[in-house]
Amino acid sequence: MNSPIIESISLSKYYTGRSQTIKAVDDVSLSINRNEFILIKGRSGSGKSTLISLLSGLDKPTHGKVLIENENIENLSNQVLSKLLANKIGIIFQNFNLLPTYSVFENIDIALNPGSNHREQIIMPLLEQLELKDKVNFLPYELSLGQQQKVAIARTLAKDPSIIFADEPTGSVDDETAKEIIQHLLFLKNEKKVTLIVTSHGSSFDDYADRIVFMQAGKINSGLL
Amino acid sequence: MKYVFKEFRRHLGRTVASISGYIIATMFIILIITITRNNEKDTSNILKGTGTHFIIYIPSGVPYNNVPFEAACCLEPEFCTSASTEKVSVKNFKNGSLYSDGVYTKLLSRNFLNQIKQVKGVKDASPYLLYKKYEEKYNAEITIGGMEPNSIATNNNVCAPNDIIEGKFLPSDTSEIVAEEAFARSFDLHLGDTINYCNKKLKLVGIINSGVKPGKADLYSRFENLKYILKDQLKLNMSGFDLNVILVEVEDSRNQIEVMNAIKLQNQYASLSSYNCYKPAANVMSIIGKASAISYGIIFLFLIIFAAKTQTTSLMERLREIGILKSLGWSNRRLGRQIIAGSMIQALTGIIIGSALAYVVLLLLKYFKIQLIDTSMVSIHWSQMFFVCALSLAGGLIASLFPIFRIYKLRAADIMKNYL
Repeated sequence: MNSPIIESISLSKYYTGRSQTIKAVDDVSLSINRNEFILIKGRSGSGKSTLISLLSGLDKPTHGKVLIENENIENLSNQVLSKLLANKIGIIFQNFNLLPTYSVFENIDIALNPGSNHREQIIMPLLEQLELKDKVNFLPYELSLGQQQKVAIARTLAKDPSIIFADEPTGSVDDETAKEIIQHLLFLKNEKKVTLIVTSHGSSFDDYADRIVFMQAGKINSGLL
Repeated sequence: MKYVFKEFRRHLGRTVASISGYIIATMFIILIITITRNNEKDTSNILKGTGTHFIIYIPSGVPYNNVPFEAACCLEPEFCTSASTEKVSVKNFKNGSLYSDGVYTKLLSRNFLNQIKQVKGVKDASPYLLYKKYEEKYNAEITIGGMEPNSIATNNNVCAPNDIIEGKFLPSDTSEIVAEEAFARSFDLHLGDTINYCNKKLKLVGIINSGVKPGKADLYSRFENLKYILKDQLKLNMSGFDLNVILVEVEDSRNQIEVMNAIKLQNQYASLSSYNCYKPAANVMSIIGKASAISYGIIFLFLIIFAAKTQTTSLMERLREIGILKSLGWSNRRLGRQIIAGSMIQALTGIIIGSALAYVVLLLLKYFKIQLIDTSMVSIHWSQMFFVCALSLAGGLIASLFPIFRIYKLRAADIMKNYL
């Protein structure tokens, strides 16, 4: 039996407004196994992105805890958490989050550890694989949305992570590019044994996920594929 | 480091503005400090020497250093037998007497003079003989002072070579004498005239106008010459007791009160006479000193506020990418190092250029002999320039702490949620 690589226990994230408290994530307990592909589905505002932020350690929960490889990430120092994000966790955002004045190469380069050697040998094959080799010196605004998402994927892959969080990775791209992105992610799962946690409001990943989790108003409804 | 420079190039306008800020701030701080320090130094030099002199004597009738009264005093008994510790009013000087400030005085020892010289803050102390005698020929009580001419304490308490208006200053010949201008005019005396004093014929070789001084007399002679002139009047039979007034010059008017108190502690019977000019001078210097310290403080504060503002603005502009970098695994420490490196490089560049420009401006002021605020020429002090550079760098460092503190507080998700 697979041991869980990520586990959330009664995970909640509340935002206190002037008149009411918004429960973005409410008492979510979830166990994700190693090399599992879990798809989190739900409508906009259901709390998918917040859940991804909490599970990846980008955000701090109001209640509950997140365990990554049995380690409560709340107890990790910034230095250790940063190492985790730099080496084990890759995050792909819907809006790519590329640095607009950095070239394609530089956008990938900044994700590598400062002490990494052979940076070019790491980056160039990835760009070739994602058909971006000729765009190496391009700035993000000179690329199509699909190409920008591919750069974001390359940036994640450069770190060779064992867990990838992808927040609506196909949300901003056309169907053809979406298919390509899905294939890349499946390749990572099958060949590199990466654990995939993907959010989507559409159905493009439905056929490939090991498990689908539905979110509504910050809560998980059900789901086993 | 590569990305620090990349960041500079990326926001070239902001980088130039930031460096320009450091240039302007450093340049003006150096100029302001140099000019105010120069001004402070010049005014201090004037004020330090204002009223920094006083005289010491011991009135007759008070004990002195446990030396028996008779032994300490060498004057005629009628002037020295009072047991009172109060100043004795002088009734007349028919027979002549050592005196000061209108009272008969005792002779003081050279040991006491040396003790005064050792008091912290005393710049110079000099012996003085001040004698007054009624002269029938002139129907007046005439005072004569004997001094050591090459002493700053003498110059400030009695008279100085540049006070001479006619003739020469303190001749070495025992038969020659210098007179105060007022005295000479009163008795219609001119250079070359002979003055009868204590049965001596003294030739007038100089006329002086010493102004208002604590040790002022009608006639002046060298110390040893006066001892010779008064050898029949003074009984200088106690070894080392050959003066009745000590002239004192203090290093700094601000310390004068401490010096006077220290002397009073050494000898409670000593009378100290000063025109108290040191008090306003010390006050003014104190005000100047405080004003300068406050102005440096304000300038430094301005520098920190300016640098902090620049750094914080830069951070706000970069906040989005800081969120991205955090999500990619950049630690707070790594981001902090980047910010400090960026801040220090900008500050250092600005400081070097600003210092160079300030140096050029100061050189031009010197070259064209431009005097600022009526003080002497501006002088360049490397120590001050290094001090300002260190101050500016410290300012840059302190300023970079604000954004670093913010980065430590913010989580990647907060930044990305709020700023993406």
